[in-house]
Amino acid sequence: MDTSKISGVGLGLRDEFVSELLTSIENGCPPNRIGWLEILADNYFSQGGRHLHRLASLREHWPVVLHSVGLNVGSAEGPNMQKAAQMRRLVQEFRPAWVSDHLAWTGISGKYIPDLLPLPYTVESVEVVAANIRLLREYLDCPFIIENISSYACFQNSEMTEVEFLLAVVQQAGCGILLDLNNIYVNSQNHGYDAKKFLQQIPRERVVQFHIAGHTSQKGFLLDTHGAAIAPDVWDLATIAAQLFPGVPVCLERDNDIPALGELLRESEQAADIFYGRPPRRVCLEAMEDRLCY
Amino acid sequence: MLLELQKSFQKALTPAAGKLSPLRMTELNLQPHCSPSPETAIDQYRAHFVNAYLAVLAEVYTYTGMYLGQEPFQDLCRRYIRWAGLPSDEIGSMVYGQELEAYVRRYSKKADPELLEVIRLDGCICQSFYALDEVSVDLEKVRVWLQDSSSLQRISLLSSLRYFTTSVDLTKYEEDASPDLSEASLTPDAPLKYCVVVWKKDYLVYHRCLGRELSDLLQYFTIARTREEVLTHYCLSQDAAEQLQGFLTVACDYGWLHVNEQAPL
Repeated sequence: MDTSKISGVGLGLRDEFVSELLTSIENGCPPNRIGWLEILADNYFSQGGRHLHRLASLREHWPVVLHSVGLNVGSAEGPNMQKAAQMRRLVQEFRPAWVSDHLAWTGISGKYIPDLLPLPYTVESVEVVAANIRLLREYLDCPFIIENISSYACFQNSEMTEVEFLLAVVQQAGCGILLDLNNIYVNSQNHGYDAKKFLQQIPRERVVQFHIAGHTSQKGFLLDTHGAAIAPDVWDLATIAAQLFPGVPVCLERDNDIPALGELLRESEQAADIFYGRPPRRVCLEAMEDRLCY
Repeated sequence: MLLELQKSFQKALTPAAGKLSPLRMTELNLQPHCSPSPETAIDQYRAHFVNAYLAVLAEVYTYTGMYLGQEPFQDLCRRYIRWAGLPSDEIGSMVYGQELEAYVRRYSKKADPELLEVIRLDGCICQSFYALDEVSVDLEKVRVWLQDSSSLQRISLLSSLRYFTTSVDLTKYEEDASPDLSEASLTPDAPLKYCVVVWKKDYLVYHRCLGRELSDLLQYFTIARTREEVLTHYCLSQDAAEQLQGFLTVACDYGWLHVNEQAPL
Protein backbone atom coordinates (compact mmCIF):
# COMPACT_ATOMS: atom_id res chain seq x y z
CA MET A 1 0.00 0.00 0.00
CA ASP A 2 1.33 3.39 -0.90
CA THR A 3 0.67 5.58 2.13
CA SER A 4 2.95 8.35 0.94
CA LYS A 5 0.33 9.91 -1.32
CA ILE A 6 -2.00 10.72 1.56
CA SER A 7 -0.91 14.14 2.73
CA GLY A 8 -2.44 17.53 3.31
CA VAL A 9 -6.20 18.07 3.33
CA GLY A 10 -8.54 15.36 2.11
CA LEU A 11 -12.29 15.35 1.65
CA GLY A 12 -14.85 12.80 2.79
CA LEU A 13 -16.45 11.85 -0.53
CA ARG A 14 -20.22 12.24 -0.64
CA ASP A 15 -22.63 11.62 -3.49
CA GLU A 16 -23.70 15.26 -3.48
CA PHE A 17 -20.49 16.49 -5.07
CA VAL A 18 -19.24 13.47 -7.01
CA SER A 19 -20.55 14.89 -10.30
CA GLU A 20 -18.85 18.22 -9.64
CA LEU A 21 -15.53 16.51 -8.97
CA LEU A 22 -15.82 14.36 -12.09
CA THR A 23 -16.64 17.42 -14.18
CA SER A 24 -13.64 19.24 -12.77
CA ILE A 25 -11.41 16.34 -13.82
CA GLU A 26 -12.92 16.31 -17.31
CA ASN A 27 -12.30 20.04 -17.58
CA GLY A 28 -8.72 19.61 -16.47
CA CYS A 29 -9.12 21.75 -13.36
CA PRO A 30 -9.73 19.52 -10.32
CA PRO A 31 -9.67 21.40 -7.00
CA ASN A 32 -6.02 21.50 -6.03
CA ARG A 33 -6.91 21.97 -2.35
CA ILE A 34 -8.11 18.37 -2.23
CA GLY A 35 -5.11 16.14 -1.84
CA TRP A 36 -6.94 12.85 -1.37
CA LEU A 37 -10.38 11.36 -0.80
CA GLU A 38 -11.82 9.39 2.07
CA ILE A 39 -14.39 6.90 0.79
CA LEU A 40 -17.26 5.86 3.05
CA ALA A 41 -16.85 2.24 2.04
CA ASP A 42 -20.24 1.04 3.32
CA ASN A 43 -21.90 3.03 0.52
CA TYR A 44 -20.00 0.90 -1.98
CA PHE A 45 -20.72 -2.54 -0.52
CA SER A 46 -22.69 -3.63 -3.57
CA GLN A 47 -21.95 -5.84 -6.54
CA GLY A 48 -22.36 -3.02 -9.00
CA GLY A 49 -23.89 0.36 -9.74
CA ARG A 50 -23.00 3.74 -11.14
CA HIS A 51 -21.53 4.87 -7.81
CA LEU A 52 -18.81 2.19 -8.09
CA HIS A 53 -18.08 3.14 -11.67
CA ARG A 54 -17.78 6.82 -10.74
CA LEU A 55 -15.55 5.99 -7.81
CA ALA A 56 -13.19 4.19 -10.16
CA SER A 57 -12.95 7.38 -12.24
CA LEU A 58 -12.19 9.50 -9.16
CA ARG A 59 -9.61 6.97 -7.99
CA GLU A 60 -7.63 7.56 -11.17
CA HIS A 61 -7.10 11.13 -10.07
CA TRP A 62 -6.94 11.06 -6.27
CA PRO A 63 -5.37 8.66 -3.79
CA VAL A 64 -7.92 7.24 -1.38
CA VAL A 65 -8.41 5.80 2.08
CA LEU A 66 -11.41 3.63 2.97
CA HIS A 67 -13.53 4.50 5.99
CA SER A 68 -16.29 2.32 7.42
CA VAL A 69 -19.08 2.49 9.97
CA GLY A 70 -20.11 -1.15 9.77
CA LEU A 71 -17.24 -3.51 10.48
CA ASN A 72 -18.47 -3.77 14.07
CA VAL A 73 -15.02 -3.48 15.59
CA GLY A 74 -16.38 -3.35 19.14
CA SER A 75 -18.65 -6.39 19.02
CA ALA A 76 -18.12 -9.01 21.71
CA GLU A 77 -19.06 -11.56 19.04
CA GLY A 78 -16.31 -10.49 16.65
CA PRO A 79 -16.34 -8.13 13.69
CA ASN A 80 -18.84 -8.31 10.86
CA MET A 81 -16.98 -10.60 8.47
CA GLN A 82 -19.58 -10.25 5.72
CA LYS A 83 -18.89 -6.55 5.56
CA ALA A 84 -15.19 -7.27 5.95
CA ALA A 85 -15.42 -9.42 2.81
CA GLN A 86 -17.01 -6.50 0.96
CA MET A 87 -14.30 -4.24 2.32
CA ARG A 88 -11.59 -6.63 1.15
CA ARG A 89 -13.03 -6.50 -2.35
CA LEU A 90 -12.83 -2.70 -2.28
CA VAL A 91 -9.30 -2.81 -0.87
CA GLN A 92 -8.21 -5.03 -3.74
CA GLU A 93 -9.92 -2.84 -6.32
CA PHE A 94 -9.12 0.65 -5.07
CA ARG A 95 -5.80 0.10 -3.23
CA PRO A 96 -6.37 2.50 -0.32
CA ALA A 97 -3.49 3.72 1.82
CA TRP A 98 -5.35 2.41 4.86
CA VAL A 99 -8.76 1.34 6.16
CA SER A 100 -10.41 2.87 9.21
CA ASP A 101 -13.43 2.23 11.39
CA HIS A 102 -14.70 3.34 14.79
CA LEU A 103 -14.05 2.41 18.37
CA ALA A 104 -17.67 1.33 18.64
CA TRP A 105 -20.07 -1.52 17.99
CA THR A 106 -22.98 -1.63 15.54
CA GLY A 107 -25.07 -4.62 16.52
CA ILE A 108 -25.04 -8.01 18.16
CA SER A 109 -26.62 -11.42 17.49
CA GLY A 110 -26.63 -10.91 13.75
CA LYS A 111 -28.49 -7.58 13.89
CA TYR A 112 -27.33 -4.27 12.45
CA ILE A 113 -27.83 -0.81 13.96
CA PRO A 114 -26.83 2.12 11.77
CA ASP A 115 -25.15 4.00 14.59
CA LEU A 116 -21.86 4.00 16.47
CA LEU A 117 -22.69 2.59 19.88
CA PRO A 118 -20.46 3.23 22.88
CA LEU A 119 -18.33 0.70 24.71
CA PRO A 120 -17.62 0.54 28.44
CA TYR A 121 -14.00 1.48 29.04
CA THR A 122 -12.94 -1.85 30.53
CA VAL A 123 -10.03 -4.24 30.17
CA GLU A 124 -12.43 -6.74 28.61
CA SER A 125 -13.47 -4.20 25.95
CA VAL A 126 -9.83 -3.42 25.19
CA GLU A 127 -9.10 -7.10 24.64
CA VAL A 128 -12.20 -7.61 22.48
CA VAL A 129 -11.54 -4.59 20.26
CA ALA A 130 -7.82 -5.23 19.92
CA ALA A 131 -8.43 -8.83 18.87
CA ASN A 132 -11.05 -7.70 16.35
CA ILE A 133 -8.68 -5.11 14.87
CA ARG A 134 -5.89 -7.65 14.52
CA LEU A 135 -8.27 -10.04 12.80
CA LEU A 136 -9.53 -7.37 10.40
CA ARG A 137 -6.05 -6.10 9.56
CA GLU A 138 -4.87 -9.59 8.70
CA TYR A 139 -8.01 -10.39 6.72
CA LEU A 140 -8.00 -7.13 4.78
CA ASP A 141 -4.25 -7.25 4.23
CA CYS A 142 -4.18 -3.49 4.66
CA PRO A 143 -3.13 -1.07 7.41
CA PHE A 144 -6.04 -0.47 9.80
CA ILE A 145 -6.57 2.54 12.04
CA ILE A 146 -9.23 3.20 14.66
CA GLU A 147 -11.30 6.36 15.24
CA ASN A 148 -12.51 7.78 18.55
CA ILE A 149 -16.28 8.37 18.57
CA SER A 150 -18.78 10.82 20.00
CA SER A 151 -20.73 9.07 22.72
CA TYR A 152 -23.85 10.02 24.61
CA ALA A 153 -23.71 7.45 27.37
CA CYS A 154 -21.20 6.61 30.10
CA PHE A 155 -21.05 3.19 31.69
CA GLN A 156 -20.78 2.70 35.44
CA ASN A 157 -18.40 -0.24 35.03
CA SER A 158 -15.78 1.74 33.09
CA GLU A 159 -12.33 1.17 34.54
CA MET A 160 -10.44 3.91 32.72
CA THR A 161 -10.92 7.25 30.97
CA GLU A 162 -11.76 7.56 27.31
CA VAL A 163 -8.24 8.48 26.27
CA GLU A 164 -6.75 5.68 28.38
CA PHE A 165 -9.14 3.28 26.69
CA LEU A 166 -8.19 4.51 23.21
CA LEU A 167 -4.48 4.21 23.96
CA ALA A 168 -4.84 0.75 25.50
CA VAL A 169 -6.67 -0.46 22.38
CA VAL A 170 -4.13 0.86 19.88
CA GLN A 171 -1.26 -0.40 22.05
CA GLN A 172 -2.71 -3.89 22.25
CA ALA A 173 -3.88 -3.96 18.62
CA GLY A 174 -0.70 -2.40 17.31
CA CYS A 175 -2.52 0.10 15.14
CA GLY A 176 -2.66 3.81 14.49
CA ILE A 177 -5.35 6.35 15.40
CA LEU A 178 -7.76 8.31 13.29
CA LEU A 179 -8.23 11.21 15.66
CA ASP A 180 -11.59 12.94 15.27
CA LEU A 181 -11.18 16.40 16.75
CA ASN A 182 -14.88 17.18 16.69
CA ASN A 183 -15.64 13.98 18.58
CA ILE A 184 -13.10 14.91 21.24
CA TYR A 185 -14.66 18.35 21.56
CA VAL A 186 -18.22 16.99 21.71
CA ASN A 187 -17.31 14.40 24.37
CA SER A 188 -15.31 16.92 26.37
CA GLN A 189 -18.38 19.15 26.58
CA ASN A 190 -20.86 16.34 27.21
CA HIS A 191 -18.77 14.35 29.65
CA GLY A 192 -16.81 17.17 31.22
CA TYR A 193 -13.13 16.71 30.44
CA ASP A 194 -10.35 18.89 29.08
CA ALA A 195 -9.99 18.32 25.33
CA LYS A 196 -6.48 19.77 25.25
CA LYS A 197 -5.30 17.36 27.96
CA PHE A 198 -6.88 14.53 26.00
CA LEU A 199 -4.72 15.44 23.01
CA GLN A 200 -1.60 15.85 25.11
CA GLN A 201 -1.82 12.27 26.37
CA ILE A 202 -1.66 10.77 22.88
CA PRO A 203 1.80 9.78 21.63
CA ARG A 204 2.65 11.69 18.49
CA GLU A 205 3.63 8.61 16.54
CA ARG A 206 0.21 6.96 16.94
CA VAL A 207 -1.81 9.56 15.02
CA VAL A 208 -2.19 8.71 11.34
CA GLN A 209 -5.12 10.88 10.31
CA PHE A 210 -7.44 13.61 11.60
CA HIS A 211 -11.13 14.05 11.08
CA ILE A 212 -12.66 17.46 11.47
CA ALA A 213 -16.39 18.16 11.21
CA GLY A 214 -19.29 20.17 12.57
CA HIS A 215 -21.73 19.47 15.38
CA THR A 216 -25.00 20.87 16.67
CA SER A 217 -26.37 21.70 20.08
CA GLN A 218 -29.42 19.81 21.25
CA LYS A 219 -31.36 19.84 24.52
CA GLY A 220 -28.39 20.74 26.63
CA PHE A 221 -25.80 18.53 24.99
CA LEU A 222 -23.75 18.51 21.82
CA LEU A 223 -24.57 16.14 18.99
CA ASP A 224 -22.06 14.99 16.40
CA THR A 225 -24.19 15.55 13.31
CA HIS A 226 -21.60 16.36 10.65
CA GLY A 227 -24.34 18.71 9.54
CA ALA A 228 -22.92 22.17 10.21
CA ALA A 229 -19.84 24.24 9.57
CA ILE A 230 -16.88 23.47 11.81
CA ALA A 231 -17.33 25.36 15.09
CA PRO A 232 -14.76 27.97 16.21
CA ASP A 233 -13.96 25.92 19.32
CA VAL A 234 -13.15 22.93 17.15
CA TRP A 235 -10.89 25.08 14.94
CA ASP A 236 -9.13 26.15 18.16
CA LEU A 237 -8.66 22.51 19.11
CA ALA A 238 -7.37 21.87 15.58
CA THR A 239 -4.72 24.54 16.10
CA ILE A 240 -3.50 22.72 19.22
CA ALA A 241 -3.60 19.37 17.41
CA ALA A 242 -1.61 20.79 14.50
CA GLN A 243 1.15 21.77 16.92
CA LEU A 244 1.13 18.45 18.76
CA PHE A 245 0.92 16.26 15.65
CA PRO A 246 2.56 18.14 12.78
CA GLY A 247 2.11 16.94 9.24
CA VAL A 248 -0.74 14.51 9.89
CA PRO A 249 -3.26 14.47 7.00
CA VAL A 250 -6.71 15.85 7.83
CA CYS A 251 -10.06 14.94 6.31
CA LEU A 252 -13.11 17.22 6.27
CA GLU A 253 -16.35 15.35 6.90
CA ARG A 254 -19.86 16.53 6.09
CA ASP A 255 -22.84 14.16 6.09
CA ASN A 256 -25.92 16.33 6.47
CA ASP A 257 -26.97 19.67 5.00
CA ILE A 258 -24.08 19.29 2.61
CA PRO A 259 -23.21 22.68 1.12
CA ALA A 260 -21.84 23.45 -2.32
CA LEU A 261 -18.39 22.07 -2.97
CA GLY A 262 -17.04 25.62 -2.98
CA GLU A 263 -17.96 26.09 0.67
CA LEU A 264 -16.27 22.83 1.62
CA LEU A 265 -13.19 23.93 -0.29
CA ARG A 266 -13.12 27.15 1.72
CA GLU A 267 -13.13 25.06 4.91
CA SER A 268 -10.35 22.93 3.44
CA GLU A 269 -8.29 26.08 2.85
CA GLN A 270 -8.81 27.06 6.49
CA ALA A 271 -7.72 23.57 7.51
CA ALA A 272 -4.65 23.80 5.28
CA ASP A 273 -3.75 27.12 6.90
CA ILE A 274 -4.05 25.69 10.39
CA PHE A 275 -2.43 22.32 9.86
CA TYR A 276 0.26 23.02 7.30
CA GLY A 277 0.50 26.71 6.50
CA ARG A 278 0.45 27.43 2.78
CA PRO A 279 1.15 25.44 0.70
CA PRO A 280 0.34 22.19 2.55
CA ARG A 281 3.47 20.58 3.87
CA ARG A 282 4.21 17.10 2.66
CA VAL A 283 4.11 14.52 5.39
CA CYS A 284 7.37 12.92 6.44
CA LEU A 285 6.89 9.67 4.58
CA GLU A 286 9.01 7.50 6.81
CA ALA A 287 7.18 8.73 9.88
CA MET A 288 3.86 7.88 8.25
CA GLU A 289 4.97 4.35 7.49
CA ASP A 290 6.05 3.92 11.11
CA ARG A 291 2.60 4.93 12.37
CA LEU A 292 0.89 2.32 10.27
CA CYS A 293 3.21 -0.61 10.90
CA TYR A 294 3.87 -1.49 14.50
CA MET B 1 -20.00 -9.24 30.58
CA LEU B 2 -19.55 -7.09 27.46
CA LEU B 3 -21.75 -9.40 25.42
CA GLU B 4 -24.57 -9.21 27.98
CA LEU B 5 -24.29 -5.44 28.11
CA GLN B 6 -24.44 -5.16 24.33
CA LYS B 7 -27.47 -7.44 24.19
CA SER B 8 -29.29 -5.29 26.77
CA PHE B 9 -28.31 -2.08 25.01
CA GLN B 10 -29.47 -3.38 21.63
CA LYS B 11 -32.76 -4.54 23.08
CA ALA B 12 -33.31 -1.10 24.58
CA LEU B 13 -32.78 0.57 21.22
CA THR B 14 -35.39 -1.49 19.39
CA PRO B 15 -38.17 0.95 18.52
CA ALA B 16 -40.84 -1.41 19.85
CA ALA B 17 -39.19 -1.42 23.28
CA GLY B 18 -40.89 1.87 24.11
CA LYS B 19 -40.10 3.69 27.34
CA LEU B 20 -37.73 1.62 29.43
CA SER B 21 -38.62 0.52 32.92
CA PRO B 22 -36.22 1.39 35.79
CA LEU B 23 -35.15 -2.27 35.84
CA ARG B 24 -34.24 -2.23 32.15
CA MET B 25 -32.36 1.02 32.62
CA THR B 26 -30.38 -0.61 35.44
CA GLU B 27 -29.38 -3.46 33.13
CA LEU B 28 -27.74 -0.94 30.82
CA ASN B 29 -25.35 0.04 33.61
CA LEU B 30 -25.34 3.70 32.55
CA GLN B 31 -24.02 6.42 34.80
CA PRO B 32 -27.03 8.29 36.16
CA HIS B 33 -25.42 11.70 36.42
CA CYS B 34 -23.95 12.42 33.04
CA SER B 35 -24.92 14.60 30.12
CA PRO B 36 -27.11 13.66 28.40
CA SER B 37 -29.09 11.65 30.95
CA PRO B 38 -29.36 7.88 30.36
CA GLU B 39 -32.98 8.24 29.24
CA THR B 40 -32.07 11.02 26.80
CA ALA B 41 -29.11 9.00 25.56
CA ILE B 42 -31.29 6.01 24.73
CA ASP B 43 -33.84 8.30 23.06
CA GLN B 44 -31.04 9.89 21.07
CA TYR B 45 -29.59 6.59 19.86
CA ARG B 46 -33.05 5.31 19.02
CA ALA B 47 -33.97 8.48 17.13
CA HIS B 48 -30.75 8.26 15.16
CA PHE B 49 -31.48 4.67 14.20
CA VAL B 50 -35.04 5.50 13.11
CA ASN B 51 -33.97 8.60 11.17
CA ALA B 52 -31.24 6.67 9.38
CA TYR B 53 -33.74 4.10 8.16
CA LEU B 54 -36.33 6.75 7.29
CA ALA B 55 -33.69 8.30 5.06
CA VAL B 56 -32.95 4.95 3.39
CA LEU B 57 -36.65 4.26 2.82
CA ALA B 58 -37.19 7.73 1.36
CA GLU B 59 -34.29 7.18 -1.02
CA VAL B 60 -35.31 3.70 -2.13
CA TYR B 61 -39.11 4.11 -2.22
CA THR B 62 -39.33 7.28 -4.27
CA TYR B 63 -42.41 6.33 -6.34
CA THR B 64 -44.14 5.13 -3.18
CA GLY B 65 -43.45 8.50 -1.58
CA MET B 66 -44.83 10.30 -4.62
CA TYR B 67 -47.90 8.06 -4.68
CA LEU B 68 -48.76 8.46 -1.01
CA GLY B 69 -47.58 12.00 -0.38
CA GLN B 70 -44.99 12.97 2.20
CA GLU B 71 -46.93 12.69 5.46
CA PRO B 72 -48.67 9.34 4.82
CA PHE B 73 -45.39 7.96 3.44
CA GLN B 74 -43.47 9.01 6.56
CA ASP B 75 -46.19 7.49 8.70
CA LEU B 76 -46.00 4.21 6.76
CA CYS B 77 -42.21 4.17 7.10
CA ARG B 78 -42.31 4.78 10.84
CA ARG B 79 -44.80 1.97 11.32
CA TYR B 80 -42.69 -0.31 9.15
CA ILE B 81 -39.50 0.45 11.06
CA ARG B 82 -41.26 -0.26 14.32
CA TRP B 83 -42.61 -3.54 12.92
CA ALA B 84 -39.42 -4.67 11.22
CA GLY B 85 -37.18 -3.95 14.20
CA LEU B 86 -33.48 -4.23 13.68
CA PRO B 87 -32.50 -5.67 10.31
CA SER B 88 -30.00 -8.48 10.00
CA ASP B 89 -26.42 -7.42 9.50
CA GLU B 90 -26.55 -9.11 6.10
CA ILE B 91 -29.04 -6.52 4.90
CA GLY B 92 -27.42 -3.53 6.55
CA SER B 93 -28.68 -0.20 5.36
CA MET B 94 -28.30 -0.18 1.61
CA VAL B 95 -31.35 -2.22 0.67
CA TYR B 96 -33.29 -1.81 3.90
CA GLY B 97 -37.06 -2.09 3.49
CA GLN B 98 -37.33 -5.11 1.24
CA GLU B 99 -40.23 -6.38 3.36
CA LEU B 100 -42.26 -3.18 3.02
CA GLU B 101 -44.63 -4.74 0.49
CA ALA B 102 -45.16 -7.78 2.72
CA TYR B 103 -45.79 -5.48 5.68
CA VAL B 104 -48.46 -3.46 3.85
CA ARG B 105 -50.04 -6.62 2.48
CA ARG B 106 -50.21 -8.17 5.91
CA TYR B 107 -51.25 -5.25 8.07
CA SER B 108 -53.47 -3.13 5.85
CA LYS B 109 -57.03 -4.34 6.12
CA LYS B 110 -57.75 -3.27 2.58
CA ALA B 111 -54.40 -2.80 0.95
CA ASP B 112 -54.47 -0.46 -2.03
CA PRO B 113 -53.41 -2.65 -5.02
CA GLU B 114 -51.64 0.23 -6.73
CA LEU B 115 -49.67 1.02 -3.57
CA LEU B 116 -48.48 -2.58 -3.35
CA GLU B 117 -47.31 -2.57 -6.96
CA VAL B 118 -45.58 0.80 -6.66
CA ILE B 119 -43.72 -0.51 -3.61
CA ARG B 120 -42.74 -3.58 -5.62
CA LEU B 121 -41.53 -1.38 -8.49
CA ASP B 122 -39.37 0.69 -6.12
CA GLY B 123 -37.92 -2.47 -4.58
CA CYS B 124 -37.01 -3.87 -8.01
CA ILE B 125 -35.37 -0.59 -9.03
CA CYS B 126 -33.22 -0.66 -5.89
CA GLN B 127 -32.19 -4.28 -6.44
CA SER B 128 -31.36 -3.61 -10.07
CA PHE B 129 -29.31 -0.53 -9.21
CA TYR B 130 -27.04 -2.41 -6.82
CA ALA B 131 -26.81 -5.60 -8.90
CA LEU B 132 -23.70 -6.73 -10.68
CA ASP B 133 -22.75 -4.63 -13.70
CA GLU B 134 -22.56 -7.13 -16.55
CA VAL B 135 -21.76 -6.52 -20.18
CA SER B 136 -24.84 -6.98 -22.31
CA VAL B 137 -24.63 -8.65 -25.68
CA ASP B 138 -25.49 -6.93 -28.97
CA LEU B 139 -27.57 -8.43 -31.75
CA GLU B 140 -24.61 -9.07 -34.04
CA LYS B 141 -22.93 -11.19 -31.38
CA VAL B 142 -26.15 -13.13 -30.88
CA ARG B 143 -26.28 -13.84 -34.61
CA VAL B 144 -22.66 -15.04 -34.59
CA TRP B 145 -23.39 -17.19 -31.55
CA LEU B 146 -26.42 -18.77 -33.24
CA GLN B 147 -24.28 -19.70 -36.24
CA ASP B 148 -21.45 -21.14 -34.18
CA SER B 149 -22.30 -24.81 -33.81
CA SER B 150 -19.30 -25.39 -31.56
CA SER B 151 -20.38 -22.79 -28.97
CA LEU B 152 -21.00 -24.02 -25.45
CA GLN B 153 -22.14 -20.62 -24.23
CA ARG B 154 -25.61 -19.86 -23.00
CA ILE B 155 -27.69 -16.72 -23.31
CA SER B 156 -29.76 -15.35 -20.44
CA LEU B 157 -31.15 -12.24 -18.82
CA LEU B 158 -28.76 -9.94 -17.00
CA SER B 159 -28.74 -10.55 -13.26
CA SER B 160 -29.71 -6.88 -12.76
CA LEU B 161 -32.97 -7.38 -14.67
CA ARG B 162 -36.15 -7.78 -12.63
CA TYR B 163 -39.70 -8.32 -13.83
CA PHE B 164 -43.11 -8.95 -12.36
CA THR B 165 -46.63 -9.28 -13.61
CA THR B 166 -49.42 -7.14 -12.26
CA SER B 167 -52.97 -6.18 -13.00
CA VAL B 168 -52.21 -2.57 -12.11
CA ASP B 169 -51.31 -0.17 -14.88
CA LEU B 170 -47.93 1.27 -13.93
CA THR B 171 -47.24 2.88 -17.31
CA LYS B 172 -47.86 6.35 -15.82
CA TYR B 173 -44.69 5.94 -13.76
CA GLU B 174 -42.61 5.49 -16.91
CA GLU B 175 -42.38 9.19 -17.62
CA ASP B 176 -38.75 10.28 -17.60
CA ALA B 177 -37.80 6.83 -16.34
CA SER B 178 -37.32 4.98 -19.60
CA PRO B 179 -35.34 5.54 -22.75
CA ASP B 180 -37.45 6.29 -25.79
CA LEU B 181 -38.93 2.90 -26.60
CA SER B 182 -41.05 3.53 -29.63
CA GLU B 183 -41.50 -0.04 -30.82
CA ALA B 184 -45.14 -0.98 -31.00
CA SER B 185 -44.31 -4.39 -29.59
CA LEU B 186 -43.42 -2.80 -26.28
CA THR B 187 -46.90 -1.51 -25.72
CA PRO B 188 -48.91 -3.72 -23.38
CA ASP B 189 -51.57 -5.52 -25.37
CA ALA B 190 -53.45 -7.09 -22.51
CA PRO B 191 -54.68 -4.27 -20.32
CA LEU B 192 -55.75 -6.64 -17.56
CA LYS B 193 -52.25 -7.99 -17.06
CA TYR B 194 -49.03 -6.10 -17.33
CA CYS B 195 -45.46 -7.30 -17.18
CA VAL B 196 -43.18 -4.69 -15.69
CA VAL B 197 -39.50 -5.05 -16.53
CA VAL B 198 -36.78 -3.19 -14.64
CA TRP B 199 -33.27 -3.17 -16.03
CA LYS B 200 -29.95 -1.40 -15.81
CA LYS B 201 -28.09 -0.05 -18.79
CA ASP B 202 -24.96 2.06 -18.61
CA TYR B 203 -25.41 2.24 -14.81
CA LEU B 204 -28.88 3.78 -15.06
CA VAL B 205 -32.05 1.88 -14.14
CA TYR B 206 -35.09 1.91 -16.42
CA HIS B 207 -38.52 0.32 -16.21
CA ARG B 208 -41.25 -0.39 -18.68
CA CYS B 209 -44.48 -2.35 -19.08
CA LEU B 210 -44.27 -5.06 -21.75
CA GLY B 211 -46.75 -6.70 -24.05
CA ARG B 212 -47.61 -10.37 -23.55
CA GLU B 213 -45.41 -11.76 -26.33
CA LEU B 214 -42.33 -9.98 -25.07
CA SER B 215 -43.02 -10.88 -21.47
CA ASP B 216 -43.41 -14.58 -22.40
CA LEU B 217 -40.02 -14.54 -24.09
CA LEU B 218 -38.53 -12.59 -21.21
CA GLN B 219 -39.59 -15.42 -18.92
CA TYR B 220 -38.20 -17.96 -21.42
CA PHE B 221 -34.74 -16.42 -21.04
CA THR B 222 -34.89 -16.44 -17.24
CA ILE B 223 -33.19 -19.81 -17.65
CA ALA B 224 -29.85 -19.62 -19.45
CA ARG B 225 -30.53 -21.05 -22.92
CA THR B 226 -28.20 -23.01 -25.14
CA ARG B 227 -27.86 -22.29 -28.83
CA GLU B 228 -29.77 -25.49 -29.60
CA GLU B 229 -32.68 -24.50 -27.39
CA VAL B 230 -32.98 -21.09 -29.02
CA LEU B 231 -32.83 -22.59 -32.51
CA THR B 232 -35.48 -25.14 -31.55
CA HIS B 233 -37.71 -22.28 -30.41
CA TYR B 234 -37.13 -20.61 -33.80
CA CYS B 235 -38.34 -23.72 -35.57
CA LEU B 236 -41.62 -24.00 -33.66
CA SER B 237 -43.53 -21.89 -36.17
CA GLN B 238 -43.22 -18.85 -38.37
CA ASP B 239 -44.90 -16.74 -35.68
CA ALA B 240 -42.56 -18.04 -32.98
CA ALA B 241 -39.54 -17.24 -35.13
CA GLU B 242 -40.76 -13.70 -35.80
CA GLN B 243 -41.57 -13.12 -32.14
CA LEU B 244 -38.18 -14.39 -31.07
CA GLN B 245 -36.45 -12.24 -33.66
CA GLY B 246 -38.42 -9.22 -32.45
CA PHE B 247 -37.61 -9.98 -28.85
CA LEU B 248 -33.89 -10.42 -29.50
CA THR B 249 -33.81 -7.11 -31.36
CA VAL B 250 -35.47 -5.24 -28.49
CA ALA B 251 -33.61 -7.12 -25.77
CA CYS B 252 -30.22 -6.51 -27.32
CA ASP B 253 -31.07 -2.90 -28.03
CA TYR B 254 -31.92 -2.26 -24.39
CA GLY B 255 -29.24 -4.46 -22.93
CA TRP B 256 -31.32 -7.19 -21.29
CA LEU B 257 -29.22 -10.19 -22.33
CA HIS B 258 -25.76 -11.45 -21.82
CA VAL B 259 -23.81 -14.50 -22.91
CA ASN B 260 -22.36 -16.61 -20.16
CA GLU B 261 -18.68 -17.00 -20.72
CA GLN B 262 -18.48 -20.26 -18.83
CA ALA B 263 -19.32 -23.56 -20.43
CA PRO B 264 -22.53 -25.16 -19.15
CA LEU B 265 -22.35 -27.97 -16.65
